[in-house]
Amino acid sequence: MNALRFALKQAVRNVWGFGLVVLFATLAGLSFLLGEQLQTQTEKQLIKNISGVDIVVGAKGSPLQLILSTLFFMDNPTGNIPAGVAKQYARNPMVESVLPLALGNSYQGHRLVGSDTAFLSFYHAEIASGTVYQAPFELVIGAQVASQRGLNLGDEVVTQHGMSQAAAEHHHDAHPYLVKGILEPCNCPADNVLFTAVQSITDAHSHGHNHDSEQEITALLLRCKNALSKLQLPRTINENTTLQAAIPSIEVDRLLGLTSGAFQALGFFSGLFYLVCVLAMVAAFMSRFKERQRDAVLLRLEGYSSGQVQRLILTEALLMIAVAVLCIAVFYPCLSWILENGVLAGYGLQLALWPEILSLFACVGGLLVAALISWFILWLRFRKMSIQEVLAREAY
Amino acid sequence: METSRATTFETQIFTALTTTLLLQDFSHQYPGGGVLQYPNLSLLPGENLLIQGSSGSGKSTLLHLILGVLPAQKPGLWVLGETMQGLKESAGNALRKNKVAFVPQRPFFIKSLTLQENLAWAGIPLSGTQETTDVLGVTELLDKYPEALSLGQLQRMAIAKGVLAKKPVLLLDEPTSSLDPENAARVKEVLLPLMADSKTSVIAVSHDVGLEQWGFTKTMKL
Repeated sequence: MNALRFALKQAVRNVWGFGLVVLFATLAGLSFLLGEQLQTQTEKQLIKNISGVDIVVGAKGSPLQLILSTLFFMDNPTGNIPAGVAKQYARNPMVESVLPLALGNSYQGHRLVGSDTAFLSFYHAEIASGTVYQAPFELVIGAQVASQRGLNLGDEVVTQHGMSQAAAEHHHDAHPYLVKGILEPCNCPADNVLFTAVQSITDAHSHGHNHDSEQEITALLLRCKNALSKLQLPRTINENTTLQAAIPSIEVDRLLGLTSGAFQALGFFSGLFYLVCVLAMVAAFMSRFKERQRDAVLLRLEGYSSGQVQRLILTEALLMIAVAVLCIAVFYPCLSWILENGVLAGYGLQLALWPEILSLFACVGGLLVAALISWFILWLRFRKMSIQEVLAREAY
Repeated sequence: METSRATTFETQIFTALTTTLLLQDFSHQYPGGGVLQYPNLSLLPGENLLIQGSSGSGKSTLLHLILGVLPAQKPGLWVLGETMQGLKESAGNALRKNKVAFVPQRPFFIKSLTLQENLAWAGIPLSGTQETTDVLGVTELLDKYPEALSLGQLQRMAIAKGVLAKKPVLLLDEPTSSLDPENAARVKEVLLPLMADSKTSVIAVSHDVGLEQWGFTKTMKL
């Protein structure tokens, strides 16, 4: 019988003690990974979502609100701006490309975004099936919209005025939309919205409204030609026009600054929980000390060396960690799925909490160190153990 | 004079190397305790020893010294030709692995293993065990876990393990202390052939006067 089989027998015959150590180790690993991933992935996702957009031009108001509403689809827009400014900035020598956005309608809580087909590159999206829209009242929908609402190519969608499901003011029943394309999942805000031509929004709203008024859009996303333009253009817009130019990187930095306290608290508590679980794991491993001591004495009486006995205990400790890692591998995807789809998606956050390889190594490494510490403490106590004293104790 | 001393020394060395157990002016003292002085004794291979004495006289201590789990502080104790003073850990391991089997007064086994697996961990193959286990009435218990056995069953199982180890020396600490007369007779039935075997020396510590009738070659009174 080898050391692994011995450890397995110990596990099966002491299932509660073994299970307790595995439970604490699993909880420690899960808390470490979730806490760490929530923090790093939120930062990464925020930075990823703004990449490729240098300036957002919209109505005067809060620049953070403008960024949140146009790049993350999380807040209400600051207002509308004339549609003509899109052409004006498209001709600007400092601007490389322009993407108009028209917001204001929604479908069952998912925002309808009027734009041109260049949105694919601005939002890092790709078509999974179908095509991009060619005409007004055609749609390309995000992957999550398709899966959550059960929409397929060729389905018709009736949108409503307003941004949220609860705030539906009236339905645009006269202008149903046709699903022409579905996007690949991108773990970005585009997963959760419906894209259509700007003209669709304008036409939907022109029914019964003043036809003579100038067409309006919500915002413009700009890409600048060079770094100097990124600095000069926002200042020019903010100082010389009635519009507002917000720089996504600055606003995201500000947002991260506002949320850093919460993330620090999250990191602290997940770290504390990890530590408590690791200590509980060490204590649970040590709880069978007397029984392990008797086993060790018995083996020593059969001629096993101290090293051989220690190897058996180390194998048992490593087996516990292996089972805990297996449990983490099973439960982490379930927990992260619940968090991603049940909690974070509700706040408009599209995070992929799949851990990076370094985090996994850190997690498993931490548990291994804890197991080695448990084993080392036992080793120290066994070193002081007198076989004769244990025999004398067992005689009574 | 010099020649005479040299001859005495050589005789002592020869005796130590050829005996199973040799005690020569040997004593042991626990820290803060009295000195346990042991009588001189030489036990040849195949001879058996019964150690008797009152509680605290050092009977179990002598077994632990022979087993090498209690370091001998002074010279004068040899086991199978090896002095026990300054015994290295590796030599002690080898002694217990290959030469000396021990049945403690209150037998204990690894709880997570069946008794059969306990035997396997002690290096005892399953084949050829049935005759001994049948006589001791423990064959049916082999696939059970130790916690399912009574103290008497555990003691018989421990004796079976000691006998089946087939080592040159078998140490028994109070082998019948937990047994009724019927089971003590079973133990006797198993041990007598072993005691008659010239390859094995049985050394038993016991209060049980009944063991005096088992035919031990030598008796040590402490």
